[in-house]
Amino acid sequence: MKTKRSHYKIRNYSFTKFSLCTAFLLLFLVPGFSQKFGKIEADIIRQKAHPEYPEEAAAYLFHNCKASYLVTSSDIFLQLEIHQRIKVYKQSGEKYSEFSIPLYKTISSRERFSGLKAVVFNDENGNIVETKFQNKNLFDENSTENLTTKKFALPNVKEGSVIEIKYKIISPFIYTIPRWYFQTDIPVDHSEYSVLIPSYLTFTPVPTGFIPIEKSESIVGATKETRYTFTAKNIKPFKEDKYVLNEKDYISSLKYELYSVHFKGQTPKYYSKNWNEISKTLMNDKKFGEQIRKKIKEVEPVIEACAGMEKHEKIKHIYDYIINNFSWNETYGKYTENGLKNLLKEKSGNVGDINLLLLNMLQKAGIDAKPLLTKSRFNGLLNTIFPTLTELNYLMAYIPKDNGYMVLDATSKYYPVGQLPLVAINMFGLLIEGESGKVVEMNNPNIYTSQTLMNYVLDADNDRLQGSGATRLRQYGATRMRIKADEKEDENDQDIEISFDEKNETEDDNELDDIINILEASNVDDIYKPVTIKYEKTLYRGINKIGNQIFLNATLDFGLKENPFLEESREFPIFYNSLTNYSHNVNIDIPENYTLSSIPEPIKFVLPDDKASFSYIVSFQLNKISIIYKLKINESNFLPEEYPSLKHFYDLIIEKQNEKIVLKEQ
Amino acid sequence: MGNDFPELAVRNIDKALLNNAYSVVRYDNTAVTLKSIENVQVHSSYAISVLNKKGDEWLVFSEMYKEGSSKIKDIVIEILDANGRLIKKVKKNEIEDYASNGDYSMISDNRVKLYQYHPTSYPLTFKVAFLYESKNTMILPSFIPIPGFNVSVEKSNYSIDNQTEIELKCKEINLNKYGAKNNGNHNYSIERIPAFEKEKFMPEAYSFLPVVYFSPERFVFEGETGSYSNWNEYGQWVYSSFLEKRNNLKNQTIKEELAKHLTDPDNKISIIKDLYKYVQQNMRYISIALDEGGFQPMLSGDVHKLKYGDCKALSFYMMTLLQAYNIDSKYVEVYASSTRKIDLFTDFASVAQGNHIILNIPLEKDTIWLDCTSHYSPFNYLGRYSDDRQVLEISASGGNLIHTPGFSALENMNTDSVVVNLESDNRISGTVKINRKGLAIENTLGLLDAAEKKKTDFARKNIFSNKNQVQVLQAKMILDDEKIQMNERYSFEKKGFAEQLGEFTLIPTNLTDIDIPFLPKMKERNFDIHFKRPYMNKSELSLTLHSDYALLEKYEDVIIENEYVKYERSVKLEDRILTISRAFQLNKGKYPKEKYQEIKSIIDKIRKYENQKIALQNP
Repeated sequence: MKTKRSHYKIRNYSFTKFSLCTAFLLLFLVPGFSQKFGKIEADIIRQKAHPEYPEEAAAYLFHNCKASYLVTSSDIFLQLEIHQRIKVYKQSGEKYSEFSIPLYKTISSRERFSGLKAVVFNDENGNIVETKFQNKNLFDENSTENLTTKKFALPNVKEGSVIEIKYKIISPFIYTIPRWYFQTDIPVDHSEYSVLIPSYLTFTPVPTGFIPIEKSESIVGATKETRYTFTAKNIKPFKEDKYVLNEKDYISSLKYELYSVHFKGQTPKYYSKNWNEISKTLMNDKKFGEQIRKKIKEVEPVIEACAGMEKHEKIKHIYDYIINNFSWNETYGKYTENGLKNLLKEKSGNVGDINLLLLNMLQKAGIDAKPLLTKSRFNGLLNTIFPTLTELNYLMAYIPKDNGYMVLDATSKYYPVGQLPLVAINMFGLLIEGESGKVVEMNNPNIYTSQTLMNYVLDADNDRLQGSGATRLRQYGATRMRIKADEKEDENDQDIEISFDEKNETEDDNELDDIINILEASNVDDIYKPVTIKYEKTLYRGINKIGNQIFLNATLDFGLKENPFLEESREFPIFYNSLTNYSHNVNIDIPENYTLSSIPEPIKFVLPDDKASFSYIVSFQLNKISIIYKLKINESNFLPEEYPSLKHFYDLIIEKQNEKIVLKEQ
Repeated sequence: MGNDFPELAVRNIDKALLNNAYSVVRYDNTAVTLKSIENVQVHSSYAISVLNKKGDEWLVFSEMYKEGSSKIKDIVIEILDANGRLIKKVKKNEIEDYASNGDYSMISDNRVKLYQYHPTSYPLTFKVAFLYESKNTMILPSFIPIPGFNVSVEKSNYSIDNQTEIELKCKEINLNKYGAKNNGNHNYSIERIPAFEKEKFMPEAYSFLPVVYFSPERFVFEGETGSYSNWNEYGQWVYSSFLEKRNNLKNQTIKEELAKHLTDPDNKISIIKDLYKYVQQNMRYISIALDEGGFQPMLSGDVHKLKYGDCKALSFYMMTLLQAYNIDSKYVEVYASSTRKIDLFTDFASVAQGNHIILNIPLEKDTIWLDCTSHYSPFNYLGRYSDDRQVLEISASGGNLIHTPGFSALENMNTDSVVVNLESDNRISGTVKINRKGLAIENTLGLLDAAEKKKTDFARKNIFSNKNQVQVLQAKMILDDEKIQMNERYSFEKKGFAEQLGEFTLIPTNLTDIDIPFLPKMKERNFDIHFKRPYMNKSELSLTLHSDYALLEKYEDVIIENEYVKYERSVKLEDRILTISRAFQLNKGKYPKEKYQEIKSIIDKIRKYENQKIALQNP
């Protein structure tokens, strides 16, 4: 497994190290700041910390890429000239002197790497010392069949070093211009991406992120072609955040999408088009539309078996057949890999394979199921303004209903009809109806529902509560519990002496001195039924006896532990993986010799538009305390502007939870 | 399909083997043929039934080889259903071939053949056969019949057919415990081993699992022949093959270039310190494992120029620097792991028992230990990665087993002192100072040059018993290289620290966490209890109250002391200052499993004191 992980590391190249960057442009020369190779001011080499982000371990002084096309007598190549200068401020920033540059290849053609120049500058006792990289220390790694990686580490790098590197990649894959990241995990003082595209190719630039990017044009050469230059300055480092839908989308970047190819004397060929054209292309594709339409003998008995059923039964019948008989091979894709015939044989396929079969079977059974395409969640949001075919890598089935619609994804056997795996929940999708397409917004259908009822007796002599109860997990609540039950501890987590190492967050949960004895867990294996867990509990926490009074923390062992939102403000939208419907009811029998002194005031907080609500009612009657606690989150997405009110909402809950019930002994 | 294996049907598995098992090894045969000094073949075949999703890790075929010197051939992978019926035969083009750099290596020529099966239902059986062939005969496969936790074994068999005159040394461990048989002639077998589950504070797996290791007295490695039959000869071989000729730096060059880094050229210790500091500040750790890179360090001259290297290269480079000043040091092989403390075998020498290189410098009174791969590691400090274990020092005169230094509980100490004010809204604000000694410095060593936010995050998550509503505002960390101590200071506030209950105020005892271990309730304990590393944590809370509170009752000093742990607590209120002092010490030790309940009840009692709240009468 280890080896597999490292393979992913190679492919999933991080934007910091491998970003495809640039050459110098005289046009943008800032006075006193030269981007000429090797021309570096001594001041910057002596600089001890980044002027604006003094804590950062390193920074790009500039980070440039110049993309252009080379035309030979027989071929066309895309050339990327990358030029970057990095300042290392701290030892932990030395890793920015290690490079891994992926080069793609097919059987017949490959990307080439050339013209590497790299120098390291250091201030050694007042003298600027230059250390050149020797090409003999450049390694090639045959990473996979389709990928070679150039790897090298620059010499003599230490605190204070300035690194400069320049190289070219010459690619035969002229229709793919790599995404350019203006923002990285360290500050970028100047980032410039310039593109010169010949008139026979048309691209659409697709930006992401929030950083302002300046665009300028210049006409170059005898052919009077246009060079577009995109520049961003003083870019702050990208930092992760909690509760984020799609991190990649918040990093400022630019991607060129191929729109059309029009060689002289030939009819133009359009690539990125509008959504209707993309839909038409897909529906006529052998690996897509044809797979949905074709007759598949092997599954006919399954379809016939549901002939007399109601619509929702049919859907469930077909969906269940697929999740129980086919497994996802953890590869994304919208097309079938080797045809549905192969899927039927191998029983395992990519997202395209499995959900094409789902669409095929649903349609054959007379269900109005339509293809819904999106991007897998962790690859970024679907850009709704710039239609792209290549970015779509996830397929699901969309079924209109009387009061809305439902979306099906048959890649995981944990999810019942109506719920979606996290990776498939990504806001927008392309819905194909017939041969035309439109962008639709998808709701998060997953609702975490948990209901608990506990009955306790207060054992005042021993400062404890004893009782029994049940928790019922429904919808996504049950699904998540099933997934967790199947997860195994990390095998590498051999360390048994956790106490000496950094604690993992979940450990706290185990460290209850309270005693839980599970009596029964039902329906763990049936994904269509709620899970009910019955247990006995003895609680010591939250009970304090002082003199003749008992103070009970009314939320005992449940409720929110902490406000997850600690920062004062928020830059990115907040995204919850599921909606929440949590309720916890507790009854406590109080010994007769005790009377009530005080209980928390009942309360209800509601966020505007009922996006979230909290209600908490404690009452006392006939020597019985009753606590009703309800927390609902009804919306998956919150805007950064809503952050303060969401944070406040949590603060109020935490505060309320700390209020005590006070009992007095007679 | 015809090719069915009814004998591998899951229903044929003995019920006793299903207990705790996520998967069951049905058979596992390893047949090694040592054909000549430069040819070894290993025929492996096994079938493993995976009972549920938790056993998925066994549905992976992942075999490493080294480009140029070894091959993996004739791979046959078959998937059988619960009844032993063949449902899939994996095609050649489904098996992928990747460069494998592991987690630590930037560049290497190791490769891996990989295939992963994604099941649609359980149980199923993963059946594998393949041939591994290598020109390197230095490492022979070991007999490791129990491959992991929650796996039971029906039968496993191992044999070596030695077609050469080469003598094979072998080391048998724990064979009797599970009834493994030595059938003579390097043939071993074992049957019917039930699965076992991981337990907290259990001994290292190697201390109870049956394993047999083999090592040939003569072999070929990357085209060169070598031989050894004990650690001394092994050391000679490593020294003469990989170390002797790797220094291409002139003593004079080193002395000229480094003169300016030496503060006191007449003091030996001072020279060692300055050279170590020079290496830490100027050299970077990068893992490179090409050709003989697994064993041979880069030339010292290359390290000097490039300013990077792996553990071998940096240690060897440090050695050559020391040599220039006539200071003798030794190249030390260690099995490095922060989670597993494993000794090299005393009576069995073989390659690959170690995985890391450090240095030791024998002085008249003392021995200095250096790990040259870290920028931060203090001078003469071996941390959790290499402390307290048997290692091999290598020099021109050969190999010699020695033990690296460990730390006692009092040497592994965290001491915190918290000075805070209680505000009228139950909030506290103030500072916590922490002093860490010994292994405890590693809790924060890696954060030394991190951004403030990372430090405050760390503090929030790790210092407090209850991190809710804690805000760490400022963090400061200083490493005292001389004393090998970390000194930290955090300013923080915590809302809702005190609780108002009518006329009383409750104060938690355990604001900071002093690492009382948690022992779960267990119906049955299968393994002995092993506290591998001792430690001691002390905390003193000094809480200034805003008015005249009184202790509701007198809190007697608590002292719990026995062979396992020591716990002390005292609570005082004087002049509006509430002082709570606590100390917890865990002793190093191995105890029989029957003691589990006893130890647990002691720990539970301590945890109860920790969770107590101090009640104050409001003014």
